[in-house]
Amino acid sequence: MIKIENGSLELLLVNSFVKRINDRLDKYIFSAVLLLLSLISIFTFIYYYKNGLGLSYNDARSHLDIARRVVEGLKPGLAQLGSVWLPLPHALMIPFVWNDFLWHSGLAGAIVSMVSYVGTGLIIYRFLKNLGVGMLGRLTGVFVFALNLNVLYLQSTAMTELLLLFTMTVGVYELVMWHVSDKIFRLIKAAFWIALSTLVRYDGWFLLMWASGLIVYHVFKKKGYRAAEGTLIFFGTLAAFGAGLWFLWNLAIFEDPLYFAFGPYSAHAQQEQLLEAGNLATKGNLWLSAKIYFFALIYSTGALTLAFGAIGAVLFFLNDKVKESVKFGASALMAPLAFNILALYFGFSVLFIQGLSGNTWFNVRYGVMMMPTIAILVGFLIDKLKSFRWVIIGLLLFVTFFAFTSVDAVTIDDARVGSSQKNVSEVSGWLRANAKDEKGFVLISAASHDAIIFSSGLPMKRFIHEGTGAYWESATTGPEHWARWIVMRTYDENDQTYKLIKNTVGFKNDYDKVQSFPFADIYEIKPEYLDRLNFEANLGKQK
Amino acid sequence: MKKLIIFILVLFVSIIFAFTIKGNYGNPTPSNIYDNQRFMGQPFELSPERGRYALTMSLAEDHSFFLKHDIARIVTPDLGFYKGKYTLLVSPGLSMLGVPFYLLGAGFNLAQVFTFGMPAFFAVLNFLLILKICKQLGISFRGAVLGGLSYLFATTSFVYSVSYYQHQTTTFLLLATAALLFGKKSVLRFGIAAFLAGFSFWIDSQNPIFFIPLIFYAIQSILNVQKDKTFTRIFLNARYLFAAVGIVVALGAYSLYSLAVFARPFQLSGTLTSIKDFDQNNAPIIKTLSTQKDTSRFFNTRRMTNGFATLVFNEDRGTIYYAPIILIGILGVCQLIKKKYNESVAVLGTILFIFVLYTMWGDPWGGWAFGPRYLIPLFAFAAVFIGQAVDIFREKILFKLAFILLFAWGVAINLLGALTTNQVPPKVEAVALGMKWNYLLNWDLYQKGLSSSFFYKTYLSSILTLEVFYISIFVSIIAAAGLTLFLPERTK
Repeated sequence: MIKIENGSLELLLVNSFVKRINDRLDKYIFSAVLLLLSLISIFTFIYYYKNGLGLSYNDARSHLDIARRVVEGLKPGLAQLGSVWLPLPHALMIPFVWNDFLWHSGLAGAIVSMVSYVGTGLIIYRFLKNLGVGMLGRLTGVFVFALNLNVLYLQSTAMTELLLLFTMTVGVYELVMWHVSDKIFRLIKAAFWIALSTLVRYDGWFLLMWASGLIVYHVFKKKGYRAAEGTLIFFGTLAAFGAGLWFLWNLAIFEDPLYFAFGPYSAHAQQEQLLEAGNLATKGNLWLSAKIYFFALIYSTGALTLAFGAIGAVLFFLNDKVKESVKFGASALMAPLAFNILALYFGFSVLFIQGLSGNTWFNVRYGVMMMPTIAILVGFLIDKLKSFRWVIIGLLLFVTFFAFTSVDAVTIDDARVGSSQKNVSEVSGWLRANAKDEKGFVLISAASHDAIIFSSGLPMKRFIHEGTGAYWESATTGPEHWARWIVMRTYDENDQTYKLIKNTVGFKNDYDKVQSFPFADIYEIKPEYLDRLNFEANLGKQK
Repeated sequence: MKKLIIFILVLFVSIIFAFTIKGNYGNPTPSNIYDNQRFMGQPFELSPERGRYALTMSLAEDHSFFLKHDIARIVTPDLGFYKGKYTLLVSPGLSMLGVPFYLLGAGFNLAQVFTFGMPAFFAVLNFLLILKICKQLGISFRGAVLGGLSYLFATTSFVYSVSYYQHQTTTFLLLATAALLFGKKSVLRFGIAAFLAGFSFWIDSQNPIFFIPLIFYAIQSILNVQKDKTFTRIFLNARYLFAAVGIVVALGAYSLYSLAVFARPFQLSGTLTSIKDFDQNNAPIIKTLSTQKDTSRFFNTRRMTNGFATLVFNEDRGTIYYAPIILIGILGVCQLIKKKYNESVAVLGTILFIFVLYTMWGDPWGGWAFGPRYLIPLFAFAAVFIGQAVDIFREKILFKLAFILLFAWGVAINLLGALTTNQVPPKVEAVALGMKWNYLLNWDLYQKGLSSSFFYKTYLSSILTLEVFYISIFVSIIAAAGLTLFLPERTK
């Protein structure tokens, strides 16, 4: 009822009505958040698709190509998942990537990120609810995550970050729930999600170890050594299943279970090159590693959000009302922080911050890995610091507004102007203009030039690359029989094509360099040798 | 008795400002400013004071918001260009308020000194407003006075009270709004507060943002929720909605001004085409497109870390070097929040909004300037918490010692700035120029006996060294604060 009396507006509500509204809100808010996050996700994808930024990361194009090669190419099949990256992101793209539009728009990969974005937002809500955080804190936590521009950008791309965030956050959530309830089903669920995270990125492997430590400690404290041992084996059997499969996969496909770790395309091999070039300053320097990652965090999560998250962490871990077991379980939220600093310290990872590591960005997006953690901690802070909650929310809105107006997404810079970006458009543009409507194969190293393959717009089956088995072997032995065009960085031994064909007679005598670009050169077979060339994929089905 | 003390205090701070106001005798002409007074230690050493004074001069002499060529010449590089006419690149409010001071001073052949006295006038008002707000929040008179003195003399507020800058006026608008809202509720008071919030746009276009916490305070204070077993009643005092007329009037007036001058309802001066300088033929040299200001880039969250470090820790502008007394305020935050929750949150919110906004600002150094000048309104609100801290810890000798030491340090540093120059480059520029980048540059001038003080240069330089002058002021301020801090409680 509304009354106006003496210039005063009075709204009279029956308490049962207020309670009903509250109950309804409680019941439907989860669905409302789901809907809202989905809309934000779709809108953001369209925005980045339209402005062409969605595929700025070369890695995004490579991820899409890897998935595409499974369904299309000279040698399609699961083996195309390769060893450079863990397979789950590409496996999840397979149902979509067969479609040319979904492949070339990046949507085949972005769908995975988008679903993960919505899922992570929802799990943050659940996480906070189960920590006893009120509605305001829960919603703040969700939107701290969901309105972070870097998260929004990455969810619109075929990158693997969002899938990792989702699987890790659900894994930690289930782990905390297990700490609270001791129900075995929770542990199985935790193991399942952590196992999935181990198939996305190696960050998941670190989480697996962290979670194992927590489980051993929790059970040992309650039930002693034997129970702890048993629980660890039980958990490990499922949680480490993915990692185990990865070793087997590498053994089966590449005849070396550690091929992913030490093979020629591994991160280790890249890091070795960087080390030789003196670009791995963090290796062996813990202070610098922490500093570099700290700045990646600031730039990826936002300075103010990070500051509130840090205060939230102090309040959470010092709060007497939060059970010790919950605190231990939730400590797994900090795994990405420890992992990234240690990875930099041991030289397993490389991260450049503009101003600290020269004038470039590289992998600064790793800072986003702490985003769900920070969102949860900010939500907790809002709930516990009741006196300041509106000031905090006001400041967060204030800064978010300016983050949007100043388009402060460091991940876009990382993708566009950093070391992750390589200007392949000249080469791919040449191929599109000169090879698309002609017959013949292109010999190219996918390990070096996947972004060119993607951007050229040519079907995958037009390319002979490392994953094409007999075609690759034949073409690198006698290119003049298979390759009408060759794309490679001449004189660069890291380019497998150049390395293998540089001394072949065919390459030396039968090709003209038709174009030379800063990123790669293009060779075309001389017209007089066209009649010797194979234009059809006639090697049959390969194993 | 209290009124007498306030009167004595106002007299005291006014005398200090009268001694330290920057200036030269006479009503300077544009060419005199251009040729003689644009240099370090002179009243027009930097473009902000030159620009605002130029517009005041133009309004007073030519009754025009557009500047004649000879006046325009002194304004560069803050000169705007609109349809062939010159104007100021900053908001016009301060220059407009300065007109009466200019005209009054011109009668005594002291146009510049009187105009530069306007910030000091507002600083005194700010002191009184701090006393008022402290009283509203239940802080003792002693705490309030110490908070007020800390703000006036132990922060960069001092330096910008004696030169022609907007900071004291902005601070006045914020403090006055807070005092109006924290006092007895009435539609008129709320209306005036709303007007002040709107008028702040005339002074600096980003100012209204700082009023957000106070606006929220106002909204929640006219809302009342009551709950009993059966009903929840929400009362909204609808009469207070009329108070919004105040903000409409202030912004509407700006819109009319903008329409009349620029034929647009909300033209931000800062976004006009800017002129770098004039060439040998006195033709304007327009800044290249890349160096023109872009409103969408005024604030950038990417800069927050740098802004934070600059405003808090860095040697060239860090608060811990220029106004460490502010740290004392932290001790009073929790207690004041317990005591007066809504008001304290509004005060704290204002502090945080100011701070966060300027961490995002493209130039947190404030150009060539003395100390963190953008934080002056923040220091005024922090003074309230200083007052509360004094109330809590006044009996502790360690606190008194820490207070007086930090206070003395702040006064020593800021008096140095007030008496010498604001023309201090940020470290990023100073290193390349082979210059010093903080108060050590002021120290060099001080040692050479070079002062910008009108009073000292005009009346005392022949009989006193700058050192004696400096020490006299320093001791007076410390004595005033020391007395307030150490004087025992009156027994009833």
